[in-house]
Amino acid sequence: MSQGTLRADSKSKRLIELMREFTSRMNGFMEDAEESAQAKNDDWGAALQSEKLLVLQDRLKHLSPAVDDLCRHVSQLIEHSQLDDVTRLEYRLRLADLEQSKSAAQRILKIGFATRMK
Amino acid sequence: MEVWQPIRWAWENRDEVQRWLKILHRWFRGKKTEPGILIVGAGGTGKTTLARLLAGEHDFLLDSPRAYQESIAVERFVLNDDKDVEILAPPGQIHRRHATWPDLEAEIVAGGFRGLVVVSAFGFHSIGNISYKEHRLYKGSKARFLNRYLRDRRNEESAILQRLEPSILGCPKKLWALTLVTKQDLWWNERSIVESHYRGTAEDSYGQRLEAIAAKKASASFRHECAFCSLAISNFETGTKEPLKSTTEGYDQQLQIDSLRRLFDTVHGLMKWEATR
Repeated sequence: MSQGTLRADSKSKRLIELMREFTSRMNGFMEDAEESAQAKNDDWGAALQSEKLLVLQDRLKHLSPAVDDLCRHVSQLIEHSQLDDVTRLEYRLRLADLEQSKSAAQRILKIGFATRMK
Repeated sequence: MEVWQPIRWAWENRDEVQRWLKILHRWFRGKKTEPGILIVGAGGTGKTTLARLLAGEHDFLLDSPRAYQESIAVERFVLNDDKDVEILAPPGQIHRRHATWPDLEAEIVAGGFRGLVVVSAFGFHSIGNISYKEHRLYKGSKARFLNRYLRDRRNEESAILQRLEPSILGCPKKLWALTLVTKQDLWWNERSIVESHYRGTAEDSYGQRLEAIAAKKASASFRHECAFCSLAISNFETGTKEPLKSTTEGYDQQLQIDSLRRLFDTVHGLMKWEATR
């Protein structure tokens, strides 16, 4: 196996790990937001849950630019680079999963806020 | 001509260009009851720059060209003087088209758009944050890579046209298509070849394909125009800042504004055609 192939394999592994990790984080945001929005509390608990939603929103806002860069990077690899069919397919699947999870987390957080404000 | 002269000329003509842009905004906006306009094209051709220019978010004279950033989802730009009006530009990457284009194509067939701006760039499609050496077309020589890449992307531009053909043919209403060929500053020395390619005189060219589509539609219901321009004067380089081609020597802001003036003339023709319905 050539050096180039080895380097490509290790880069591929890191990208796939990153996509997996952040898809799981995005899904976590979604679950936490759902939980906070649904929690029935007294005044103190309600304030805490609202604060929790704000924290989630802030964390998502700070992670988003780098997650978008990761998505763009992988997308450019799918579009332009020399990849074997299975890696290209795996990139496509994981990228779609990550982008959809991020979009879903943003939507659920928005709904979570609207629900808590009622 | 001294360096400052074109800049002064551009500055002095800025008001005129802003006036054209305002007319373009209004045309894009249309009447509230009219269908909208869709901007399509391959990734990296300049769709976002065009949409930002039309939405009033980009000043071609004052803003420096932005580094290319791939659009992840369908971009929606709101016109700065009418927040109810959106300019839609779906992402152009092949793997993103499956998810984002079918709904818009169905809308074309349903008569939901009165015009399509198909953005092309004679193959000069911006590459994101990867090295050209990672590209599937790179085989050891940068010069050969560039030739292969430009040819490959031009084929992609034709493939987009082929993909849009059923939607254009299926549209029951009057529809126009404007092929906007951007990045004139990069291909200015080859302009006669470029114009033949898009205007249909060259064999197996984009223009010939488009003529074939137009031949299948009644002339009263479909009109096509071509316009060539530079939305931002900028060298062709990868997202990792590797230079691939410099802007053509002598291509300045005066030529850029001339290109926008011709674009405006073309649009004016489309406006008149729309008004004849």
